[in-house]
Amino acid sequence: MAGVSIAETGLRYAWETLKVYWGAGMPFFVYFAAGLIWTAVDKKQKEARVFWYYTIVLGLTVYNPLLVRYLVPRWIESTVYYRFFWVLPVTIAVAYDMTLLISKCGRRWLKLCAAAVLLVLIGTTASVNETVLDHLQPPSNIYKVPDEVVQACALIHEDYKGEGEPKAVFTFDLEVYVRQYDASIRLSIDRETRLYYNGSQTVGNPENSKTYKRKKRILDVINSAEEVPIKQFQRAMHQTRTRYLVIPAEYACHDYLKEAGCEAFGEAGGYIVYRYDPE
Amino acid sequence: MILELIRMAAVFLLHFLAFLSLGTLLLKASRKETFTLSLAVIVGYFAYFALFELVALPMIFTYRSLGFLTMVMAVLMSVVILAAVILGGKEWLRRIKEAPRVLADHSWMLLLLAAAVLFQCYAVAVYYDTSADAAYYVGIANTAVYTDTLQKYSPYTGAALGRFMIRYVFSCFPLHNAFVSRLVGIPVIIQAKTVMAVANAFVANLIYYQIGRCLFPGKSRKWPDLLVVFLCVINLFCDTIYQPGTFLFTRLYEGKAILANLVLPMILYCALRLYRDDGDKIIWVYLFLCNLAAVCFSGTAVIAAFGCSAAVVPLILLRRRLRLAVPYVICLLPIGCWFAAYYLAKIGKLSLAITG
Repeated sequence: MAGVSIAETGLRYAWETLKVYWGAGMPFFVYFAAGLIWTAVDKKQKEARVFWYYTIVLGLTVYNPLLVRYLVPRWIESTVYYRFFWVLPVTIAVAYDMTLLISKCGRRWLKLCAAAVLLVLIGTTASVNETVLDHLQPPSNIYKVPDEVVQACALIHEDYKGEGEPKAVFTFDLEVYVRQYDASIRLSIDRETRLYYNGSQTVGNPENSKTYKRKKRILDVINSAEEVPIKQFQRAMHQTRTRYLVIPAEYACHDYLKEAGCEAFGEAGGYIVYRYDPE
Repeated sequence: MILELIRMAAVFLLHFLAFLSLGTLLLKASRKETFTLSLAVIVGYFAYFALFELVALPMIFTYRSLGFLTMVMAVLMSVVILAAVILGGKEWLRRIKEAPRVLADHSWMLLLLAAAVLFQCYAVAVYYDTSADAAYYVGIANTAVYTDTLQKYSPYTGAALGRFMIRYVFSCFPLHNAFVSRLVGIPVIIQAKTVMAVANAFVANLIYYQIGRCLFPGKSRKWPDLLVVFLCVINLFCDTIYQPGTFLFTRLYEGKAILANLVLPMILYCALRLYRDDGDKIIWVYLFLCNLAAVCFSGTAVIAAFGCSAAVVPLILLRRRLRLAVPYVICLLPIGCWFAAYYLAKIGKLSLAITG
């Protein structure tokens, strides 16, 4: 989990992770705790005691600071420890408590008031998920990929006359979509190379690998217009058998690519599609 | 576009026919269980993916083609659907005839419930995902369809793999999307990110409703309806990338999102049923199928073992029913087997080299 390291937090790791996990939704955890107290006091809530059982078992095990201190470095990747918080049914328990509270109100108008108060409570103490609200318009195509991916793939297929599948390099913003949409286009840059190149420390260190160096030359030219001798770039293109490049029009590498023998033959939205012929 | 939407709707209904059929056969096999359409769909959902894991996993390691997997699954499910229609068709019709009475019991709350569920289905259908994980989940299925193989090619580059990917090979869920795509011709990306995501959202809400029925026993159906509505609102106010609510709205086609929003709530549902009647054997069957399906969805299924333990261990201790430890251990077997296979592969005792 970003920003929480067991080396720095030690016994507080579980708590610090919990705080990042809940973020602005921490009040829900407080409501959950209040619900547990209510369940303990109200003897009629027999079914809801299951939330206590979950809390106790998980509190003694995967949320136990002493055990976590031992488990996380040895058995659990720290990047995925937060998934253990999924096991405790906090949101279901809170939804239950709120529903129960409303059901306890005698009259209909009281029930409606209680529901309104609870909704206002949720709205004012937690943050709405803006990502969801920002994505409620229908996507521009039925595949839910950028239109540029659809266009670029069509251009490549129209142009490619060789054997087997065409091989291409896309910039990262489009790359993740290409093979979801069209598995008949091969990609030269693999996931580990891309992640390491972008600064990830979780995919090992391929720095000295010839394969990585080859692919890095292509990425250096595209992403930062870094000074890579043209011959080295051409050799990298040849060795990776890359035939197509799909590059945003605003990138600074277009003059370099043309000089290196790449031919722009189409546009896909704001992207230029290049053909590279090693002959 | 209209034709594509009709095709998506047809594939969506096909999924539900498959789930309903498998669930019907299971519920029919239990004499104690009260048959309801929603419970049959839920149970059938987990039974389907448990079955799919058992069928697909050996085929991966015996280098069978996607076409072969498709043929076997199509034949199996055709037999299941036919058997369900013959054995359970009358029950379906009876439930459909009772629908007006049931809907009346929900009263006006049904409108709120429908709005909450439809909103979630719409949100997941239109959500424009940008997560890199989709490059695997959809890429592996699309690659399987293109190459007619099972996990032998990299989903990221299309290159032939020398070894199966240890993190993913034991969880066959993405290949279900490949199977459906191959069977009906729908593009994998539409099947995965729209049809399956909406199906998952719908089943998730059925599970939450059933949890509500357990938490409000003998009471009007309005209260479980309201619980589902509140849960929808609470999930919408889960704004960090780590929470199940976020996974529900943005990534419900991924195995781990299904784990968070369907598997773990299903385990809670089984727990609530067991605390009411720990002698009801069918609940242990549900729990076993749920855990086996969890392995199909994701390697994160290990957390389902903790969910299962949190649910069942107090039951064993509080009621001093040590004999319940037997079904409990059996329910954990699928996850135990997954963990053993993963560990053996990690230390090199189980070879994942692709030789065929």
